Amino acid sequence: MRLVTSLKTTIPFAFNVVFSNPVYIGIAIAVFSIFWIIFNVFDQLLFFSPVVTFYLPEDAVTGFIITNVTSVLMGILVAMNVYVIRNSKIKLDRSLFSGSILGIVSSACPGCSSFGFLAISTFGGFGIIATDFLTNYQTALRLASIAILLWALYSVHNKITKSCIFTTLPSDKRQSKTATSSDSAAPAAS
Amino acid sequence: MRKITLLTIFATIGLVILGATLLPSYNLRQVAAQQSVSNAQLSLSMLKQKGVPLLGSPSAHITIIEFADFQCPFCARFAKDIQPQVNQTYIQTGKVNMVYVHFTKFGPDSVTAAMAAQCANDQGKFWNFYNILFKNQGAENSGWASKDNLKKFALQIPGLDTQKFNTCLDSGKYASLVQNQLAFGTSLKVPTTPAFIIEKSDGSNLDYLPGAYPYPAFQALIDKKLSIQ
Repeated sequence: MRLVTSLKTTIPFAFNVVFSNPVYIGIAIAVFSIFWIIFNVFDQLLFFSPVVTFYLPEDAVTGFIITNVTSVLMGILVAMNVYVIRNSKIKLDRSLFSGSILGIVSSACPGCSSFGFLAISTFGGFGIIATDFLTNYQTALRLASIAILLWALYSVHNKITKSCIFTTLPSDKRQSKTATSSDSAAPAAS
Repeated sequence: MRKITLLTIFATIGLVILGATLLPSYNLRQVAAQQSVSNAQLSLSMLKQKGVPLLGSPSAHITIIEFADFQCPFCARFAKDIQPQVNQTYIQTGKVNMVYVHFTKFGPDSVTAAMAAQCANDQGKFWNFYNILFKNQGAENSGWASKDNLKKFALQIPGLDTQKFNTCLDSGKYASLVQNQLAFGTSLKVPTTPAFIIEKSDGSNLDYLPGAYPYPAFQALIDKKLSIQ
């Protein structure tokens, strides 16, 4: 409960810090657009030839909503991570990659694609099992990808807001040194 | 240094994704390069010899060849959403005919379903069975296309002799035909399911649609072919 209350203030704060600069809005929009196109091409909803067409059949609505959420999260996260990299010495969050890779892998119908065919041809029965798993649990995997991206968002927002706390409260630092040695080592390392 | 690493990572991901997106059309361009070799192979008369089910008039000047698998979700999308529009506008009016090639890449249930569909084709009911299978498509290789279930699906087709159908399915009559059609699709480097070749019925003037393209894409290619006749 306390965490939720603090998130209500820290998340908007992190957003304000990053997106007050139009460059990061631009990055977010660019990344969102790229992923939106990729997901919809993989989902066979967007076509560029022989005529540019987008269509949304009934069976694709759920997937379309999920991929839109994933694309939005990717846009926000990449922009925030770029901000963190440019403004601190903190390393890039791995959950951004795992979430985005899972999102891409689980997008579309793996068994229908060239990669699926390649997997089946190369690995035979194991390839079929792998593509079956990706196709049958596609929605669950996509939701897992969103969960990982949300974790990445929480993580990157922490980095942005924590870095402010360190610079503003030296007295807290002194207090933390009087606590257990492991507690005091953690903020110094980050 | 960190910026370079970041750029490298994103560039690699971007290239992989771009490759995956472009691979199907690249493969079909390879088929286009072999067009002179494939013309005779892809003519309607040759396809009929391979036992492919035909929808529409045999004398139509344009043929759509569908490479599909009854377990493929995008094939089901085509069958439910797009094929009825193509059928109504072009096939029922005698301008176009359509054939189906079994491209059973999804595993054992795909082969059983394909064999059952060929058994229905023996009685001229392939396309009824095609619609029923795609309407009832289940999770991949979950047993939804077991012989027992396929026999139940066959009961839904009016006028089908189920006794004959069951005997045909149990005997595995079409196992080799389904394998041959898969080999045929593989030899053409069909990169994805569904995949379509739209051509003149003699196998010339080929166009490719690798995926469950929406109706306007079919319309554009078919109208172009009709206009140059």
